[in-house]
Amino acid sequence: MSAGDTLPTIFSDRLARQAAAELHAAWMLVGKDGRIVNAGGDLEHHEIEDARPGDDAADALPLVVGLDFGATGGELPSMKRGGGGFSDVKVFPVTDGAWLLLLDSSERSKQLRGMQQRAHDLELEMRRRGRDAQEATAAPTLTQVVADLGAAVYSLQPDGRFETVGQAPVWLDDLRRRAPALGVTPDAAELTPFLEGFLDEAREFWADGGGADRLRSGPWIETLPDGVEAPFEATALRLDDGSARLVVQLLGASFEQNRDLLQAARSTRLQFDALLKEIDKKELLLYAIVHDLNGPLSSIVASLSLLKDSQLDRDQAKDLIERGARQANKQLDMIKQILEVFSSDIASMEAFESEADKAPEAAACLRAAVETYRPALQDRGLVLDLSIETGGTAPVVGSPDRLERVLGNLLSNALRHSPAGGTVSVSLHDEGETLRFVVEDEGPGVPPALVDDLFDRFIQGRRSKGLAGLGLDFCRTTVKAWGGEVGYEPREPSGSRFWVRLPKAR
Amino acid sequence: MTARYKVCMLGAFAVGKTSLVRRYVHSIFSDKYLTTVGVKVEKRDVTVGGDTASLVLWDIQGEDDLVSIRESYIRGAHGVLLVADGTRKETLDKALELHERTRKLVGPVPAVILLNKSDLTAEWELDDDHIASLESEGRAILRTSAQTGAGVGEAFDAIARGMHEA
Repeated sequence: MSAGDTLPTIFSDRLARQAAAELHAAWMLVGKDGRIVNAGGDLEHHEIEDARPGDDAADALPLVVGLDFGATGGELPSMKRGGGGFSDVKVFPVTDGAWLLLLDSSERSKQLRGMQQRAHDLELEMRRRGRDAQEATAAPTLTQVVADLGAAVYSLQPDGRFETVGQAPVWLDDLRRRAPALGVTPDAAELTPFLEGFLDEAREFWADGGGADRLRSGPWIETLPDGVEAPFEATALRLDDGSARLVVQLLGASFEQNRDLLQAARSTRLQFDALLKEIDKKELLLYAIVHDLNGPLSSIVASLSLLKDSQLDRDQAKDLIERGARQANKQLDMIKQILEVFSSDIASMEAFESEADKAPEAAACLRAAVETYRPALQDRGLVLDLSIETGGTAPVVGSPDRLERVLGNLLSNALRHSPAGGTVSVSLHDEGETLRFVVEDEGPGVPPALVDDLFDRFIQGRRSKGLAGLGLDFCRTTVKAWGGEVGYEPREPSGSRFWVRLPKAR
Repeated sequence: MTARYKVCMLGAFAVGKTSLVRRYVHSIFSDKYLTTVGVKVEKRDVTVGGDTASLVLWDIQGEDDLVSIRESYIRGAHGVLLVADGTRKETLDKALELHERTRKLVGPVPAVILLNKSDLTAEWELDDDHIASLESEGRAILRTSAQTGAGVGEAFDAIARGMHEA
């Protein structure tokens, strides 16, 4: 073991962090002979900077060394130093002696002394009040009792002024600074806005004469001069003798408990509502999935039923098998799409490439996506117009398989909405720092009412039957995760233009 | 003499009334929800129509089936800001209901409906057509976000102008 400026590892990490942070930790290893083996840390703060290996430890810490702390160690809290500060000394026995850890405890000791002083003052005050009560010849009035409960009580005088009744509570000093006239003449100077409003009502209540015997203000919060927010409540009382009293109370634990209860109830309500909305979304999703999967499945079942017909020739049977296979593939695509969307949050955090030598090549991804959809486009009699304007290799931020899927979703959209014989235009543009993929069709375009939410989950499902409406959501989530953006604009004279903008890989 | 205007912040619970006031008066925001019990009064001086005025903002506890708003909090109001949470469409109904109650209590004072939490676009539940129909009835409606500060200054300026011109 050696001394140094770092805390010895004999102490736990937690203790080490605490000590090192702000408690001016110092330590000393004392052998069984009472001599210092090592010492380190902020010895000066604890006024033992002269402690050296070989010195008698009792010279540095006479109150500690020599005490028997047994096998488990112990602590001497709040030892006063010559300069006025305080140190806690913790003792950790080891085989050949003991470690002594010194931590500054001046602030805590100061707080403790303050609390002791306040407790002492309160005890004196209670004794004084007890004496006063004993000395009082007359029975206490209701207003005096209320005042003794810690409320400020005022008596309304015939001239409209208020006079304090009984002992003013301690907190009134703070409120007085906020409402300077309170306790003297609340109507003679500016009050807190709340009390000012309540006193207007209270005066009407007192002038009214009949009815209830009290008018409560309800709670209000004041920010006191020290920044603390405190709850108060005022009550206008009409006594049996017709006199008027104003009682101002600092609301205590019951107010806090009520607020906590209300807070808990409302937080629970918010969580419950959020849960209901989540359930609604899930139900909608379930409906969409079942609906989408049902269509192809019906076709598959129909094809299989027809295949049972032994009258079919070879070509007819082959046609039915191909039809069934197409529907099965369609269903497979949907399932993949659904899985992709639900894993997109995770996928968005998965690795993607942003360095030029590893990033996907934009034109290659676009061509791959186009080739996947080319047969389907030809089947529909659509013309494909592909234009790549990047001039050479153009690596783009992303991952190749997911970028192909994003572009494939846009192509799939164009395929679905294009009129027979129409043209689907696909292009790639160099914009300097970014690359822009564009897919256009000559279909009817997106209805204006759907444009704002077009990339939200299920929206596409409203536009097209037989689709869960998840593809564009996947595009947005994925592209956004790569630092890009995706958008839609109407194409003139008709049709849709979807685009994806991605940063170039560097 | 500086005019003083009492403005009541009204709405369902957790719509962001306190956050709007804190954003406007102290330029701070916390997304921790701490329910208001009773009322808290804040002040801010503004210049409106070339005059200086003091807005006395009564941040009143939200209303639900557990807590009702005390009418005494609303009396004497010169204007009201009715706050709804755009991500909870039912809070707009509550704001409109409170507007009616306020009218009965203090008369047709200037009022602005604030659709708060406008930054949460993905969770937005209010229908644009419904908002447009409310606007066509002559209601002043603004979108605000206590979180980003968007629209907050404009909202308080709007109610200040309304009260000053009333």
